[in-house]
Amino acid sequence: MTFSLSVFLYIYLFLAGSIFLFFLANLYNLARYGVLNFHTLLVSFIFIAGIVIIGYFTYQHLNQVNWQQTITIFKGFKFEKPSDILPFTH
Amino acid sequence: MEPLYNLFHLSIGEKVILRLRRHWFIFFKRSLLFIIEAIVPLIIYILIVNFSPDLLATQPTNVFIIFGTSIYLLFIWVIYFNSWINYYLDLWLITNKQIIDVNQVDIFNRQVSKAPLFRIQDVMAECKGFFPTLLDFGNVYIQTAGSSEEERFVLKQIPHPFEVANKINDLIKYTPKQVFVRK
Repeated sequence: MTFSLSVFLYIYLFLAGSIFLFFLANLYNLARYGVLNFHTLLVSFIFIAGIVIIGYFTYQHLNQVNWQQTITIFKGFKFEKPSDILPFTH
Repeated sequence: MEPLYNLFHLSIGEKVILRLRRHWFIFFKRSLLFIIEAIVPLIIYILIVNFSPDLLATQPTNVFIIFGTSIYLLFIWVIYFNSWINYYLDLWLITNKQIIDVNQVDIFNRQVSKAPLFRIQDVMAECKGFFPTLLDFGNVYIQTAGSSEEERFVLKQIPHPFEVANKINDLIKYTPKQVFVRK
């Protein structure tokens, strides 16, 4: 089975998006039930900065990748319809 | 973000005597765990470089490694943030009228319970274990009238539990008892 490497990029974006949504829900919780002070603002900033740094380094590493490149898995494995294997009889 | 008074609907003239959170050591332990989790990809990378360098030769494998590391680091970072929020939003307020227990169980589960001081029957402090004894933190159990042992208030892993228990006892002493007259 052969497919483009970009498939993994979409899977990655989906997972990263889900994690980011979870992060936003946490931030909402803090804003809703926390008290506005220097401490909460500083910690929120540190965690946002952490996400930006991880995102930036990931982007830097993936910048050079050729996403049109294809990869093959299950080499030599032939997908067959059940009708090809078992004749349909009454 | 709202001021504390609005957040917990404190009545007029009600004063916050103590605002308690878990001891810093509890979050320190979680931070140590986070550091260990964060260096796992580095250890795996060193193992791959030393024992199977061929894995890094092809572009698809490199992409998998970068994706995996990135998702893993994002995940543990956000979980660490969630742990900090749970630590920060778990709060006990002791006012001159009541005790408020705010328990942030998880991201979509928050419990707030209140016990008026005049209903408190028994206060017990406990400091158990090596680090709690060394750093002076532990639990304070508050038994209120009409509640079972399982339903009692527990101020978990708070700093200076014995001083807090004494303070609550002092507050109870000066709280006028409410008398209900049946007609």
